[in-house]
Amino acid sequence: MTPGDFIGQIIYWVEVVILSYFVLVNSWYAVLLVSATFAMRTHVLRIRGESRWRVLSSSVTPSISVLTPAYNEANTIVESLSALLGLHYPNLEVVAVNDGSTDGTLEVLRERFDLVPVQPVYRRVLSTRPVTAIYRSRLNPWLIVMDKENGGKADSLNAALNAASGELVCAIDADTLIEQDALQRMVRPFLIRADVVAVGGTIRIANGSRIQSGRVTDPRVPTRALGGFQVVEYLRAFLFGRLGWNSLGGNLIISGAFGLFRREEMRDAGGYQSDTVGEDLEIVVRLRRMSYDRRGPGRVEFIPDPVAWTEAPEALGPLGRQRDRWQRGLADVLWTHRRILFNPRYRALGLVIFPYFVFVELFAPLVEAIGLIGLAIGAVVGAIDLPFALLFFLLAYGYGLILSVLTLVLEEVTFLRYRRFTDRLLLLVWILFENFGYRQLTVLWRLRGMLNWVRRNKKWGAMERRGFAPTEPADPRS
Amino acid sequence: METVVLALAVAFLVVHGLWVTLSQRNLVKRERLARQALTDFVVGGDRSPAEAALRELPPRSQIRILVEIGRNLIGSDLVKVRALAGDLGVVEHARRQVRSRQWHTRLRGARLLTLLDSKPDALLSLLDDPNDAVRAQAIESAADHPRPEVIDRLIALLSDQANLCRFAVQDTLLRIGPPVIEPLAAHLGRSKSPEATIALRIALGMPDHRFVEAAVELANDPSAECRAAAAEVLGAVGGTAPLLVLESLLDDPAGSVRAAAAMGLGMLQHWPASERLAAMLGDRDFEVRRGAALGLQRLDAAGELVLRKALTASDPFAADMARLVLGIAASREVRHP
Repeated sequence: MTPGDFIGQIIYWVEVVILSYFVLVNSWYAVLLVSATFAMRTHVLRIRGESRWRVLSSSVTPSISVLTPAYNEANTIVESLSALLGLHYPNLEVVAVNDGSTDGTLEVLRERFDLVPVQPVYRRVLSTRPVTAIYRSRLNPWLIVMDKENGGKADSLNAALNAASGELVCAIDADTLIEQDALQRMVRPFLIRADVVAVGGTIRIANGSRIQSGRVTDPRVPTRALGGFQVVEYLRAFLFGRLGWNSLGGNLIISGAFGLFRREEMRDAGGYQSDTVGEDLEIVVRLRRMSYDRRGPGRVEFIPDPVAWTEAPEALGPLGRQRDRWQRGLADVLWTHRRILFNPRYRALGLVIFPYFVFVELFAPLVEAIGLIGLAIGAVVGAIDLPFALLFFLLAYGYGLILSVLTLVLEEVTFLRYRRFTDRLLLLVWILFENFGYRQLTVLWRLRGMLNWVRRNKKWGAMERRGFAPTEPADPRS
Repeated sequence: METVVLALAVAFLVVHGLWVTLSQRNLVKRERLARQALTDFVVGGDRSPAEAALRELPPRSQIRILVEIGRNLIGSDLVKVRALAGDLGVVEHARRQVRSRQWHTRLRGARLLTLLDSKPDALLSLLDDPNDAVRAQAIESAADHPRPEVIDRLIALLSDQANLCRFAVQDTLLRIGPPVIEPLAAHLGRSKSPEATIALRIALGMPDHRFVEAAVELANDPSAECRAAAAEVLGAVGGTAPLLVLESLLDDPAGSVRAAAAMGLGMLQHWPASERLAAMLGDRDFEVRRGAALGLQRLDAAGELVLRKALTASDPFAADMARLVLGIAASREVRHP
């Protein structure tokens, strides 16, 4: 055997291992999709014809505090808070935290909401950077604004958690637009089961949609490729990814942009961790871990019908930084809680869910990159023939394509948010093209994230927000 | 295989999308006309155009419009819509649905009957349904039929295994209001925690002297949660016996009970307790300090005097709580011990 043959053999077997990895991962995705389909069917049957009027007018409905941290959000804060204050929920309190903004966020709030200083009696269970003042709005008495020294998103959320009076707390980003009835929908799992500690809702991309008074009035699919690809990604992640996990051991992720938690469990767990960029994932892992350690409640559910809309980055730079941050956060949290991995004490969490996040969510970009590079080298040195390369692409991308299309089918037969047929066709186009270039870019960004995590880089990276300005009415001919 | 699945999925998306678009185009217009005709009928117009327009529609659309409009009506207007729904066969259809073997069909039928049926029998038979969502729907509908036997059945459901049903019962009993007091007081008299705790929460929503005897008894329950709930009820109702019990609960080993008792004494403006409340401002439990301070605040001038004295107390916990309740800004040194 010549050295060339030997290298060829190694590349061949590496590719076989990677191919087997893709078979396993895609088969698990198929299991998730089947699980999601059953969960969706049960959910839709349960909510069909439902009147949420009772929840809306009941005096025993759990109270909710919406926690919204804001750092230099002067452009968007009034719009977001006005939308939050207009949510249709009976016992609602909004706690906004100005995290030492330097762009006049507090002044904007003072002027717009007529804030007056107050001294609420609350216990500082979680330590945070000093709170310099607390205000209550004279126009909307259920709006509380906390002004504090800059400490980051997790620190702001902890400050809000200290002051919140609701039985449930809803953590959202200041640039997130929640649909008016979303909280009524989101509270359902807490009414159904006593062991639920957290519930996540669906996040959708607002880019390209018509927005009026902080509401998405006409959901549209973005016509720009980067926005369109992200719509597909979000649909896949929420409609089959998270929903599928509900009946396979529970969820591990609740989006930081929109999640509802039991306040006491959050406080008992110690609130959000400030020294990670994946604080939303970390708190859920900790809550779940705590439930096994203390034998207490710890169910984390995802429900698909409450929707929050967010602005997705439409330039490569900010998008790359976002994905880099997500990957760093994931690596950080999985490393912090590494004792859960394959630990039978944590049952499904330790034996199924956590390993999935380590070997699929964390390592997938690494495996995909090795696979692609190996394929290219293998083709050059003649170690891999054309049928093998085709098989690789079919399993790596073809299967993914099918899952994306089936997710779209799930959306089509259930919620059908994009009412225009042309929008749904456009989604099909984005599904088809996301595998050519975009997917490889996300692999690169995620690899960069892992590298940065190894270097212990904990920066958030700047995000450019344009704000949800009311858009012009769409052309009626469109 | 992959190609076939992909092709089928794409074909489904295109065909379904086209079908939805084309069928909606026609249906939306007819639904708009029917909605308008039904609204005209409700505000005093002729019934026949509404009936004709609704009969033109498929059953699903009929139901959607009847529910959409009926949900916003009460009294004679709702009676008109119910009668029309009966004539269109919607009510009979829903009655058949609640006899189905499928839980989701029963649920759909129950939801329709809750709004459109004036006869409760079909719905109330679902109070024993094996599915929690169906049972909760039946419980919800019982608010419109508060007969004594229904109330007794609802109170028995306070110990239902399903969280959703317990929530629905609490809500329904509170909506029914005064007719619930007598049977709920009797239930409290013979129950223990944890059922008693839920019942006490309902009692708190409609405070009445008939709850006092049971609440006094439950103030000695082994569960701290139950004792705290009893203290809240006693504080809301008032009277000589509640005052004595609340004073004794100030020495309870559980902080939540002490806090509830302190707040209750404040609500009843029992100023002789101000000294004991002042002493509790230094309690190691934050909730007790908070309860004592808020209790003192409710004693008006007498309480405020005690709180102002506590501002200079040697105990930093007491001073801080007094400052917080009086709304005096903290200096950096004394902020939140």
